[in-house]
Amino acid sequence: MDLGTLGAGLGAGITVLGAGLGIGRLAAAALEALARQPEVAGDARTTMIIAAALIEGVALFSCVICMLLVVMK
Amino acid sequence: MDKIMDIEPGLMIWTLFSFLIFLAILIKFGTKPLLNGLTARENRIKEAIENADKANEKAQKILKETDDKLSTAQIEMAEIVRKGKVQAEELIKKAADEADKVKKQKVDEAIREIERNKEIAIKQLRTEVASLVVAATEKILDETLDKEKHYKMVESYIEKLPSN
Amino acid sequence: MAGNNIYYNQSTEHGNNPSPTTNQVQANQHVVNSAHGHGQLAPGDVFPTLLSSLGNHRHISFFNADISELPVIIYDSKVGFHTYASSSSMVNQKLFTMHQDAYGHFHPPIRRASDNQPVSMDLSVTSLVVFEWIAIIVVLFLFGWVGRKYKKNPTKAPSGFQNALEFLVVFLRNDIVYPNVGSVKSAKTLLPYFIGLFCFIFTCNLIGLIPGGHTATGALAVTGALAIIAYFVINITAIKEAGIGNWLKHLLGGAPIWLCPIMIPIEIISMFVKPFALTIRLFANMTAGHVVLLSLIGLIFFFKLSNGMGVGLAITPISVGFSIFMYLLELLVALLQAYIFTTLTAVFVGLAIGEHAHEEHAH
Repeated sequence: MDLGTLGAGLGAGITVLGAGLGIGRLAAAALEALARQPEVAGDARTTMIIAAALIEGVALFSCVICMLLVVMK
Repeated sequence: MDKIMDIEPGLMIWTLFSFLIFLAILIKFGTKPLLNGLTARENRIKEAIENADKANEKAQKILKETDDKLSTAQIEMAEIVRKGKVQAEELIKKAADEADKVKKQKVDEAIREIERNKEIAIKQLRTEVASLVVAATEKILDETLDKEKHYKMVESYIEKLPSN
Repeated sequence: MAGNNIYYNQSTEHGNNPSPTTNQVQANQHVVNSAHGHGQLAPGDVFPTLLSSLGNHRHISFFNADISELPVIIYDSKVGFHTYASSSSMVNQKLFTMHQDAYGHFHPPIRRASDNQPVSMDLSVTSLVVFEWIAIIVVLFLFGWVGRKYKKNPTKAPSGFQNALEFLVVFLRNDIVYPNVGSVKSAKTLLPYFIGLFCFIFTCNLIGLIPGGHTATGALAVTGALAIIAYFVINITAIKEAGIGNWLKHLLGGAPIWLCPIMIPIEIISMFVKPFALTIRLFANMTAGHVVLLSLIGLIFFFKLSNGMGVGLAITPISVGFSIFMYLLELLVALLQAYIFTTLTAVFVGLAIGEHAHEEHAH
């Protein structure tokens, strides 16, 4: 185990932290919106999934970078 | 593990090639008939619903018309019945009147007949009486000679007769 | 990464030995086999060995059973165009060489035997290509079957599997393509593409979840190819809807003309980032699940090899429990990622069209 691998692992962990926080806030907001206006459930769900996918995409970028750190050391 | 991040150009070209051919075949044999069928059916259902709506409307109209007709017919019927009653009453009244009239006529005729027969009878009676009186008188004249007295008596009789 | 190091060493050995005869290869294999014999795997080799099953292979295998080697197609600027029925026959012809591991499996790169350099284009049919084809055949079979039903009797109410497929198509049409693309004309044209895209990705994902199957969508080349098609679909639709002039004007992003040195690169980058994000998202989602799944399974063997049979058995229920949970999650992810790839492509098409339409209104 060298420092590069350690850095990659830490990086992945921090990324997950950020992404989890982001998606959690997103889900909370979506749920609130749903509770307030149940009639827009379909729209809210679609928008939520798209936004979650975008956040997840950024997180996955960083995870891929971490993976590259391990693989290409 | 290191191979996971590889981008193999061969695999990419195969994927592009396969996917495009897949799309072509899918469109030709899958989605085209499917989507056409779907739209056709949707149109048909829409049409069917529209037709059903139309038919329903028509049926409602017919029902309303029939109801209207029925109520008019009922009113007409009542009218006819009423008229019939009136007519019948009139007829009965007329018949009764006629009957009364006929009865009266008959009675009148009978009375007249009776009157006439009576007159005839009276006339006959008078002639009879006169002849009897004459006969009697002849007899009296033959037997009793108080001419004047008897004459007076006959005269008074005759006087008395027509008054009856 | 000890296992990888071993492989690298072997490949360099091969590199030094440009044209090994079949006997030499077999002898080499024998030696490695005995060294790597059954049950003598080092604990550190467990994870690389398991994870190596995720990549692309030159043969089809079902669990440990190798079913068949796959054909090799090579285009090389020096040697020309060559096709072989299998990797072994290619090696036997001695025009090209390829590294063969202890299990008799071949590993790229393919090198010219003459100067030991990698060939310019390796177009071989690999295991992931075969699994793509399987997915394609499954989808085409289902759609062809249902399509024939529709052709025969277009207005009849659907029955059986037709219902499921029709539900899917109607869902894609009413909930993904039409609302997100915006323009009805483009949506109608693109609907078959989105249906194909969704079905292809979903079927590939599911085939990867069948035990023994491989996930074609877990390779960057595959998701990259899908994203390249998506890129062309997005931009061609935008150009078709708005015209080339408006499309170029869109590169300014609505900013004043003197900002173009900043805006145009940004817009061009954003144009490429979208399909790039699609590529990475699908690849990472499909790979991550399998990596976690294989790592959980690998824990059993790792602990057995390093701490003995008892620990291995003790860890098994935990490992299996977690992997069942991961497997169910993977099922959800397989559906969700197909949905997200399709939805995002539709959204990007809608964005590209919508902005142009908006500009047209403004001018």
